[in-house]
Amino acid sequence: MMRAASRIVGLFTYGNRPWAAQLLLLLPAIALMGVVYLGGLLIFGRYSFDLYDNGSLVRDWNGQAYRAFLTDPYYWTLIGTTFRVAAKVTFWSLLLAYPLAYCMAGLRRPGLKQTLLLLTFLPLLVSAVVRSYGWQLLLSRQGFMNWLFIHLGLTDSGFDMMYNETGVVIALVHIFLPFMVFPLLNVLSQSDNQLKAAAHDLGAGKWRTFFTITFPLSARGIASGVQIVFTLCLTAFTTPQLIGGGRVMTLPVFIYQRTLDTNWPMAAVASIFLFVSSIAVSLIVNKGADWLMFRRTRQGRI
Amino acid sequence: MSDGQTTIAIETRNAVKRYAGNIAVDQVSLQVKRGEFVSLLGPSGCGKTTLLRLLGGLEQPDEGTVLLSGKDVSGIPAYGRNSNMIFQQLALFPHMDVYNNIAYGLKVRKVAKDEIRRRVHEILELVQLGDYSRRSVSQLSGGQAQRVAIARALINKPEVLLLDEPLSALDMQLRLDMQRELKRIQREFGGTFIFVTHDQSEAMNMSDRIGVMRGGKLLQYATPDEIYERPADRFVAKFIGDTNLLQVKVLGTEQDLVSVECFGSTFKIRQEKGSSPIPSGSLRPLSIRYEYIRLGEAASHSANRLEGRVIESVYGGASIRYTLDIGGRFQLQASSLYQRGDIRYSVGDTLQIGFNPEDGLLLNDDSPGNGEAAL
Repeated sequence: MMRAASRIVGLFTYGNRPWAAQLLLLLPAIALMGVVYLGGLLIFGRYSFDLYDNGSLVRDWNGQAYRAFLTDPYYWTLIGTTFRVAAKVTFWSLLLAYPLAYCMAGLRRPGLKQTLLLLTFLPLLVSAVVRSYGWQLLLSRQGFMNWLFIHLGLTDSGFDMMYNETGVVIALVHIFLPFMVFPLLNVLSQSDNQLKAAAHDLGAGKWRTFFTITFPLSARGIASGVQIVFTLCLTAFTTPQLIGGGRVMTLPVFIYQRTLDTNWPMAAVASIFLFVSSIAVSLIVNKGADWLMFRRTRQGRI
Repeated sequence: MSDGQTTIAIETRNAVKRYAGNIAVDQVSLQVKRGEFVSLLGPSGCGKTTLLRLLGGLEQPDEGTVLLSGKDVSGIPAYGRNSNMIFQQLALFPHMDVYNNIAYGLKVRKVAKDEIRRRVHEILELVQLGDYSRRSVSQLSGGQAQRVAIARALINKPEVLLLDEPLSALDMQLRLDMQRELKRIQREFGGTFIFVTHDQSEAMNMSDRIGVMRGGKLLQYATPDEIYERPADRFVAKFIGDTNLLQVKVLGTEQDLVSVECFGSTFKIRQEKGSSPIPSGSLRPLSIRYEYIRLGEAASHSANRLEGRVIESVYGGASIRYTLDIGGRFQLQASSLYQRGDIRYSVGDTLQIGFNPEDGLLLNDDSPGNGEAAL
């Protein structure tokens, strides 16, 4: 088997064609991506030009779904909700993850660090469905959180945290937190203590050192974390569906519902919109990280 | 800053620093005068870097005090002190260009923008990097990065500049250049420099005074000549320059000449005036520098003479180093200056070996309490 494989590779690499072997090795991955991913996109792209008429699908080439999606204010509220939820979740998880990652990076005792890592990543071992149900138990009117709030005297009748944006955001922050912690931990662990010592030595106190040295140098980690969490939020389905209970309408939930009632052109248009905006967000965040790291300081404005 | 104190730039009194039970700096008292270039020299793990960090305020002493210009600064962190450090890996800020790296300290002190610009350009001239202000630090060569690190520290006009082996990453030639460069900058800038190194030649080349450290203790703190000529103990003698160390037994003292015995040979060693008498019968290390051993004709006038055989000869250009066997009892190393046409002994030759009473030095044993520290 191995010999046959190497003979095939040798066939391609004979003479001056080393690229052929590399291509050969990449072929399975390329084939899979090409068929499943690109093919799926193309088919969806084709559907987006079809016509949906009174519950039935009509093969066509027109841009009616696009026009409706981009002009009808209803769809813009959908887009707005999706991006608002994603932005809130990203913001809160960054706010929670940064101090956590900062502490973990500074820990000297490996045992404690391992334990904290495990605790942070443990939720990933449980499926999103189970976690969302768990949050339903915690967040509902008679749930644990409200019981706690009432006993603490924060409220008389409990807060509404189920079937609204608040609940969805809380649950999503919990689910996506590890994806924010990991890239941050990565850059902060690599951060050079000598740079901090140098800043102290040059007269900068702890806060100034953080904002001029540690924070700008962790911009790459922040960018990765924000990219991952934001795009995961844009495409999150299970949690908004279960916790939102149909009352928090985000694009993935909307797409799911349209595919159910065979309005495939609209589902396709919304999907393409999600795809394009995810890429756009990634690019913008990358540029932002560059700016945070270099431009600001290069202008002489520390 | 009262009178009398002003000549001392920085000082430690009985400073002690422990790490998890290990003693890194052990009762060190050190005074550095204003304008001096002082090196802290010792093998790795001897506590020299920790002492430097105590001086800079990056560590706080567990006991004892640090005085900067006569003012007690123990307990004040690095950002509250007017001393600056150059780190071993330089620690230039990678996300800032040369200008912003150098300007960092002034910005922290909220110096006016125009003055920052003026002073940065001034200091860039001093370190001969005039046109590099907008370079990114990743584009600098090793020597240029050194200069930026020096400029970044000096621009704050520190009372003391602390250097933590900043040249150790450079190759030999660049290192010698930077040694000269550092001395020039120190002359022009007129500051007090404290330089940590494990390289004895570097310390000898640059320093007004050298502090030799081992196992957290400051063994000797003196001028390079003094350390070379009169090392405090066996360790210092071995660490600075090349020396033969022989264990000898003291037989007796006549005026300033001490008779010692070593493997059956008797030598006369001249003792320094005023040094305390050595009791007869005691065992002491005797140090004879390689270059003080005379060979052949030159040995015939020496007071202490031996017969020996060459068992190894290493040619070193301007000098030759011989390993000599003395009747199978012990060995001596000799290094003699060599010019073309001089006599050159070869392996197997038997010859006269000699040294004068003033060329030998009876040492104290290693300072107590060092145990089996590094080396």
